[in-house]
Amino acid sequence: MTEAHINRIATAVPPYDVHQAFIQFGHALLGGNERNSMLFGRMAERAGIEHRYSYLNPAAHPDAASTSAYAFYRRGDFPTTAARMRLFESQAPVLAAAAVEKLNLGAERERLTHILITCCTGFSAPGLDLEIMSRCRLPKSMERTMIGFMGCYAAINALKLARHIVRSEPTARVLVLNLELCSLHLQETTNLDEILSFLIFGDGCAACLVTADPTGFAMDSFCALLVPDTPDLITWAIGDSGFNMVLSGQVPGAILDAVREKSGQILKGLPISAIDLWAVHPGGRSVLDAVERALDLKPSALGASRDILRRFGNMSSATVMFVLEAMLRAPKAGALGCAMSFGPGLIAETMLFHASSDTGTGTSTRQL
Amino acid sequence: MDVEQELQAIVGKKVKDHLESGTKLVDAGLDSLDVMELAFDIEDRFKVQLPQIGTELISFTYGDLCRLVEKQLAAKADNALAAPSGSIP
Repeated sequence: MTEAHINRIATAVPPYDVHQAFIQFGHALLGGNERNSMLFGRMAERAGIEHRYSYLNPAAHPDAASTSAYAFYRRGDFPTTAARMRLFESQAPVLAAAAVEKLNLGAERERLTHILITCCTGFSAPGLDLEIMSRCRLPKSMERTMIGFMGCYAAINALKLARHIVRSEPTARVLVLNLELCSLHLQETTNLDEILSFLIFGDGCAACLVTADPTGFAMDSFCALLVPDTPDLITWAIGDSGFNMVLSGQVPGAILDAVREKSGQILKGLPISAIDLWAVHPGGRSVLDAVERALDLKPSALGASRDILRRFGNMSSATVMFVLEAMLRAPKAGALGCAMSFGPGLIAETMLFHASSDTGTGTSTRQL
Repeated sequence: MDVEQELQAIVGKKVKDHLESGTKLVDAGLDSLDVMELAFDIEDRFKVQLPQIGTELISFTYGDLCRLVEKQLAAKADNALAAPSGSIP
């Protein structure tokens, strides 16, 4: 059977670092509640995040070409879903095109056969698929698939589908895009738990090429692990004023129990010590801590995931691809890896992979 | 004063009744913000960092909390022993 490989990954983020500005904004949303403000400040300090990016410009005097974060999120008048989607339609293709261009496809772009896109933060039709094909001059004959609204684990689903395509059609060359503009869905609230959930999300896009060429990471197997009785722990629904998220504080504990109990299923019987590369979705510091404890990993094992969390926050479906991109830059031939993402269900979507003998080249993240 | 007594004193600022080991924090009347605040009070008092700090602590029993703090204190002591005694010039 043909082996499918992640040959290359490229990533891009929008131009404005909004993390520190959001912390100030979060305190303002709490409206002078000293106790909650203190708790918010301390939680922000230990979130393990230093930067998150957005197309919303937090500068006091933004340039004319950008959208002011404070004008977009005007107190007492947060934007409608339609207004948010208009911004998505204008900015998402820009970010996606930047990531695709960084793949340096060259003449290879003519040979692309499929495009798969994951996104849960914006929708329109004709959609991102056609817009990207036009902007990036991709073949009009490409087969297109949108994987929508699955949340943070969708990248693993997209890789799974890309692998199926390549295995059934060995000449296929699949472009996978994971694009999320999470910063468009801030809600006006004084609820500390909600404001804390907004503290971790940022925008980003990953593009990768999956083919039968034996370079980069070979995708060996996948596992979808549904955690029983947890449908209410993460929810994501379309509201009148953006998309509304519920992110329960019980998520890390549920992940810890599930990963610990099902590690044999996830690793297909391999011992934990056999895994060299842990590409765990940095859904938040507590999620990474939970996985580390569940598998009794050394603190360094999740270093790449913690570094992506620190530099970019949680970019939903794009995040685990940022982690894989970092690993792809310095792979050891034959190294075994396990990628893992979590989202609504709760579901843990996992993938076992290994570094090919002829490794691909990673690229640094482009800030627009 | 031992760890358990000190914890009772910290928890006692929020809960009037003496907590039994098997009592869940949520059943003692603490909400998610209370447990977050409690965790920070514990960190400040014992100079340790708790791996669980958010609302996941709410499903802990008082006994779980005691064991967690004792574990973190033991880890802190181990780290202190492992650290070099002098500095390298």
